[in-house]
Amino acid sequence: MEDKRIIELFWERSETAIEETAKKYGRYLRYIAANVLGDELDSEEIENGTYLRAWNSIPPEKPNSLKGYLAAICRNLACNRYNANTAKKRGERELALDELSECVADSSQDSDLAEAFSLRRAIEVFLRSLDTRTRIIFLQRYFYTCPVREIAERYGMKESTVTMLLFRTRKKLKGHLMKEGIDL
Amino acid sequence: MKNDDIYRELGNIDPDLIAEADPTATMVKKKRRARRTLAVIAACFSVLIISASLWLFVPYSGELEDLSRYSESEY
Repeated sequence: MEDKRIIELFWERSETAIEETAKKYGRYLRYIAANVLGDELDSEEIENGTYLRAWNSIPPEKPNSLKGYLAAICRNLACNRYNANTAKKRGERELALDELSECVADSSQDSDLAEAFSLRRAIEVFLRSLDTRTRIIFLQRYFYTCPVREIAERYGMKESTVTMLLFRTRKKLKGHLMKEGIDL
Repeated sequence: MKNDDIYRELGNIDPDLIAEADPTATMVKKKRRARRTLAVIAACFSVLIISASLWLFVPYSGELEDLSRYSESEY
């Protein structure tokens, strides 16, 4: 089924929307979650969480790319789960500091949001300035968290070539962010 | 600014860019390409076998040899 039709089903509040989404993107979402979490059971939970989040956000949202929209939700949920899992392993001192940092963050929440927005814009401009292959490799590594070995295999490249390409791209990104006046 | 911020904000970029880099799509393409290569090899092999069979078992595919000179031969 086409994405446009699936989005229409979400708008019609038809539960078939979730079935069709799972059929088309289930494997893809589990892959994203598994790359972040490295755990199959957690990945399935994140996949289901993604459907729920999509169900709650469409409408009012009407994404241009359903695939990318779901991937972003899935990755964010997986990152939150990862942070929660690692927080459990940390000591009480770190947890207390985290709790205090929330108080500090409250007072500067607006500037944080503005900073996050300008950082996102700068990253998007930077990604669009790259050639397609470099952009895809960069995103496969830093959005999809694919292992370098897997990327190298996929594109018939040596691991060292991919590592060097990523290193150069990170360096370019740093330069771009500095030029845009973003504090590093 | 920390690495975490960049990593987090990468999760909020334009969904079109995210979809473009889908690694599972690349894997499917790779599998399809491998399957197509295999099909081409199988087709070439079949053509070779059929040609060899025709060459071996249908020797008089052109004009038939004139056998009248053997008509008066005795065995």
